[in-house]
Amino acid sequence: MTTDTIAAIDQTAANTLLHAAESALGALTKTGGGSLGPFTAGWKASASFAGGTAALEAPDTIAIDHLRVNYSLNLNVGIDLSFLDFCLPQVCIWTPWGTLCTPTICVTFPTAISVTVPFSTSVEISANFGIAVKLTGGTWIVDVVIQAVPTLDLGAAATLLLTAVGAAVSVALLAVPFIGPLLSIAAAVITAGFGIAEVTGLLGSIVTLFVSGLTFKVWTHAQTFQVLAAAPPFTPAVHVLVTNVAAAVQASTKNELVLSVDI
Amino acid sequence: MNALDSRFVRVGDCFAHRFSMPGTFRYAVSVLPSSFAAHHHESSGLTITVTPATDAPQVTHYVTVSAAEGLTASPDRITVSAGDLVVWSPAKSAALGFRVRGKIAEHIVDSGSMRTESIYTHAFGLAGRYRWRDANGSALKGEINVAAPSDDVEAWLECLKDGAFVHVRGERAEPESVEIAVGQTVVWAVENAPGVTITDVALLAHGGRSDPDDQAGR
Repeated sequence: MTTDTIAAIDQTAANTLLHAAESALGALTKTGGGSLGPFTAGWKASASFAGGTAALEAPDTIAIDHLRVNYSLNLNVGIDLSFLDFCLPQVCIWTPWGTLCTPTICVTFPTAISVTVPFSTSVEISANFGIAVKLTGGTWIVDVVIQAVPTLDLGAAATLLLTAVGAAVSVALLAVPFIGPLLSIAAAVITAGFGIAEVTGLLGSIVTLFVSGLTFKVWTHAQTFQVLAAAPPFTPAVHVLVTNVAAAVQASTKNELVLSVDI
Repeated sequence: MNALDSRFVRVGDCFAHRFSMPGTFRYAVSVLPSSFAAHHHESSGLTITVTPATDAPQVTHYVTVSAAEGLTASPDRITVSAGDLVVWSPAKSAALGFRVRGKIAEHIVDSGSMRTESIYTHAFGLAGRYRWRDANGSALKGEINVAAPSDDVEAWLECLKDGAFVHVRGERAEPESVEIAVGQTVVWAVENAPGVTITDVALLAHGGRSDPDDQAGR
């Protein structure tokens, strides 16, 4: 059986398709939770993709280099300060009506001080993408799908995020009554609780959620489409049914992304 | 939290009164700064029976106010001798604070409108300059400067045992300005006043009075 229609694009056109697909994908959002050392961390993140250079590699691989993942997150860190609980001692003081002694007053610190840290940055990835064709809801779709999550270089971002978390925690602590002289103790315990490794791990898990299974939709077409309008009273509309679609990177004089359509 | 306002006795605060005359003090504790609480013989069941003075040394009695379905005072009934001090303080559960108001003979005792032989204490939790005045409108006012101490925690804990004293007579506070460190307690003893509060001007609309000096306050 021969293929009814064949279309091929070269690497330049593939890059145009890729960038259009990135724009069409828009911003993805996800929410989740994790931990930063002994502290809880909830987050809401969004990511979008831009740039990158696609190289067609037979058979059936599109290698995309320097794809930029722009991501932003609102990180909510919950910190338990109950380890600072202490008691104000009894105060005895002269008054005109006798010495007054206050009762000992125990100060309890919040068990769930919440700090929200907004954070935005980007990371570049390079990865191989495969080609996937599917028929969904009467529409043929050609996707390029990432094959494996690449190594993410998040060191610089983690350092920035750690600094931002530290600054936000410091501001929040300053508003806690009675903590003043205990601030350095609190800061020491908190900063000992998590470091760059924990922040990198959290950041990695968030970015991986966006990159894992990353799919760009590069071509869609209705399974059935009209080619001739109805001409009443005798001629009905003429429709074409696309029975099969195949896509592959093929090597000829140069590598091309080839689309084969049967009707 | 930890606001300076004698109308709401919160964690870190106390209200105290010396009962100098025998009689029965019937009172209520309320979260509202209203006068409903003790008008004046309703059955709140909270009483302090003051017996005639004896030669025994003065005693300080402590009442803890807790919040569950409502505010409760424990013990709810006590007997004291004339000249004794009674100190009300909140349990952690009474986070919103409370007001003590009641009557003994024809004398009203009210933490939200202190007249005489009344004491309000407040432990300051945050550094800063606190201008305070009477929320009920008298000319009474003052200032507390709360310094952030050094990181020497042991020295800081030791200094917490020392309070500062402010004597309120009529509509004047002496001293008018006090310097303390975070966590230290200031004790106001109110004598012959027209029914005053000790309230941070930051909690009052327009500083509580039309005094331009206070508009530049905290």
